[in-house]
Amino acid sequence: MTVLQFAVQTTVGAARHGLLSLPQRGVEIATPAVVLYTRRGLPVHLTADLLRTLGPDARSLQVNPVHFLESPGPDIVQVAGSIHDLLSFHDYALFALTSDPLEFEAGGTTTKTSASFETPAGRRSVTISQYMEVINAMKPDVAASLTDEILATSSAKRTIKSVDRSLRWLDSCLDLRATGSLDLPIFGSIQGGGMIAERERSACETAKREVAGFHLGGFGRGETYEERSLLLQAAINHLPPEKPRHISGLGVPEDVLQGISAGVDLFDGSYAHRLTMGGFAMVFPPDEEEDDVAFRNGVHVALGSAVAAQNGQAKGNGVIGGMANGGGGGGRNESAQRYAAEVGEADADGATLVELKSHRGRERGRDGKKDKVGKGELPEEHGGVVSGAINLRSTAYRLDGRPILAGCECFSCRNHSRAYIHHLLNTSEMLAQVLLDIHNIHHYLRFFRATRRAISEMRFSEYCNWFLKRRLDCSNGRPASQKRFVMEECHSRQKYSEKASLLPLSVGTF
Amino acid sequence: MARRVKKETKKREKVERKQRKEEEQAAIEAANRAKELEQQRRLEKIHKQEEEREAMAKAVEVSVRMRFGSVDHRLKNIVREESQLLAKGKGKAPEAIASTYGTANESDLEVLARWNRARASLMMLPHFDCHTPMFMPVGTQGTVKGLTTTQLEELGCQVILGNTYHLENRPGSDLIYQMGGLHKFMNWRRGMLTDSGGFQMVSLLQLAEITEEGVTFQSPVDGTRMLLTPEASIQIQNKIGADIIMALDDVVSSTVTGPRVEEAMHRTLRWIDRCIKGRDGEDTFLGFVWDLVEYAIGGVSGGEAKEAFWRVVEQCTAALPENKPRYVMGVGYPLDILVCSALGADMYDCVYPTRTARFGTALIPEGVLKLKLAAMATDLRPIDPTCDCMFTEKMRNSIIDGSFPEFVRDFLKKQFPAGDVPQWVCNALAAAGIQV
Repeated sequence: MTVLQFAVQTTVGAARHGLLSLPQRGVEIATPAVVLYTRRGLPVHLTADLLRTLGPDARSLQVNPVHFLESPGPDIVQVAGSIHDLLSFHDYALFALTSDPLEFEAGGTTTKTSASFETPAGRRSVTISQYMEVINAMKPDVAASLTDEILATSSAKRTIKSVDRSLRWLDSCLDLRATGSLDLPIFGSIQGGGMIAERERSACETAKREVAGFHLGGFGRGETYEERSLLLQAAINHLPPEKPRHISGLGVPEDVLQGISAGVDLFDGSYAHRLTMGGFAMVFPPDEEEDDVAFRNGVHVALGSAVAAQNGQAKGNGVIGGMANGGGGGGRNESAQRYAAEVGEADADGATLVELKSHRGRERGRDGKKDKVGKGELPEEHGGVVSGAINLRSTAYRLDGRPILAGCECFSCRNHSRAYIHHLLNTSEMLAQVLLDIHNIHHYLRFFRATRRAISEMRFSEYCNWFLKRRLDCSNGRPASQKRFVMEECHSRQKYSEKASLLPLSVGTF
Repeated sequence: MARRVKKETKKREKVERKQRKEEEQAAIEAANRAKELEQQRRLEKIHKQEEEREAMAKAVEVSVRMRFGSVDHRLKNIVREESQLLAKGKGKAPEAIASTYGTANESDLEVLARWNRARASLMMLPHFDCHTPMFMPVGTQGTVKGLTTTQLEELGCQVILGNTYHLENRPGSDLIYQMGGLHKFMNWRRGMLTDSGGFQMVSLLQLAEITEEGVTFQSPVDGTRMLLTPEASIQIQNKIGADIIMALDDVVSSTVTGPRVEEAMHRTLRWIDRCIKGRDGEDTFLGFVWDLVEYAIGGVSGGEAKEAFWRVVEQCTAALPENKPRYVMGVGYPLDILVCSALGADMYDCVYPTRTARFGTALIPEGVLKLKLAAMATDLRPIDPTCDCMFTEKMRNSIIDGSFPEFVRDFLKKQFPAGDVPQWVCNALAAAGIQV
């Protein structure tokens, strides 16, 4: 018997802090929360013991049903008993959700009866009965209905068709669930692309069904930041407040804050995974309180590195590249400099900011690769710092003995230096991704915890303002979400179709 | 008249023959004398070298915190004999076995318990006190593939290996030195051993050029050339700062037989001399490998080669002093570890467990479990329900509590349920005083 309880505890405007409980698992998820990304049910780089060290916030995982169509197929999951048994994740909340922002490719051959997915075993068409067969075998804690994913830029005709199909498939899912022995909570998938009317219709119709919660599909697929607010509002206004809402496609912190502001409770965790795959580590300021701690530590380390550079030990590489001043120095406030010091940008007295040439830019030039975005739009990354994430592949970290982020309590930051992780990335050692994933997930969870605290203390809008301003500081005066920057590294192991590069870059922006 | 002439000619010939014979004799004698002189000179030279070496070793002993053992000539002879024997013999798939000793001060290896030749000891290294027999996982590039240092500690791992050649290539020993040594760079609190780079003569043979001076490797990463001499190997290892370092050895590829094996053995001995001269042990703990056997281990089924393998280990451990650790390099199959431990060896390293894990295979008491097999898809049992500690730890405990033969028999019963224990294993264990 699967029980899913949800209680909203505090609301600030549309934003809400709640508690999602799964008593049969002993799991309580404080929302807003992130549902961690997995491949075939496993957090890609973390073994079970490492996952546990990430604490109680890391107890909800997304398991993608299309990864269980074959090897292992539903028959094997059936033998194991359930997906919990197969993975030995008995005290984890497992959400069966097909949406995967990293694998989505527009233009799949979705038909009247089947949706098309990119799976580890290649592209597959999945019918509603196949889908429910997998779900029935998996017995997850929550499953989203099969849905017809489209782009925000899809035509009106295609959008309407997508909403109709998704509703029909939701009905089939609910019917098929009734025939199964499971009493599985189903999240109704809401579509509607970039059309406000369709978003409203999809939400209204889905809310009428017997669903335990909602999955907001089709976001981060071509809508602008402003459009997204309207689309979210259009859908969420018609959803009952007592049921949880999950969204996928919003991972960048600004986007997450936008989602929380609109009333979303659960987010997909692919952002952290994507950064890890690119060799990036999050260093954006997660919360106001800990910011000062980070600042204090950061200054000490920055001073240390400046001295080291003076001693000539580091020969330029030791001066760790942060962001460039970029001419906007006048607009920088004190906290900007603090942050700069934290990620290692400023020199000791802060009088001049060290500007290093873009390592990645140079590397690209050498490789003769062309950037996917126009040269003028490329953010000036220095030492691989882009919008609060540092690229540890950059040679700027060769001799950097500091942790990824001063004051961070994660295993990687407590035990290892940037230089070591740079070396691991450079030698393609598996441990690089393990350490990066630990840090990135830990940092991301910390960010979500800060948002929850801000809501429960009724100062969410202040928090948002503070956060956006600090992110602005650390991304050279330009809001990160406006940056058109495709993370090539992240997609280097995946197909990256031409269509994807035309996508608005909330897919590829960070 | 004619008869007289004939007679005289005959006489002359006789004299000439006699003279020739005498001349030949003299020449032979001269040659022999020269040979003897030569030999004497060579012997003198060797003695002189050895004296120098010992003098130097003694001199360093005073200044270095950790002392070195002196060369054991008996061992050298055994090594030489075995090597020649193998070079003449079938000589399949050679692999290096180095018997290390002189790793630590006499007082730093304490034999805690013994069962016949098998022994359980405590070895004190600067970073960690190790219990032997022990297996040392290979962390080629400053990381054991995929495992965090905490996970390694939880597994009970006491010493890990670093690979001198690979570490010099990336990130470079200078960088490691600047970062405070490999221990600090990778945040590993326990023991560390660096190999000399010699094994890469096998693993990167296509990219290596071996001369008397050293080995020139072509980097597999960017093609740059690096000359690794015995002296450079020691310098690099000093910068890396492991607890135990190794002398550069001339390791022969598995396909080579005959005189090359012998050449490698002699070159290794010469290189060891250069390593001793090249070390600077003032502030770095230097363990030292003294002798090295180029040794043939056949494939899994190479019964003959395995027979030779245990004999070499047996003779080395017999010849080595009791108070020094004995390290069998590159040995990693559980059966081999068992046999070597029964014969008195202490330390082992191999990529086998790490690599086989990446290929989807698990080691279990009954042998191996190939988890990629279709039959495993629906097998819900744990990999090994009896798994609670490491193989070497169980073995060590059995030596300490005196149940080592039972442990060996139990192990073999599980590995060879049909009782088809290979002959070489039986022979080796018989030599170790264990009847199978």
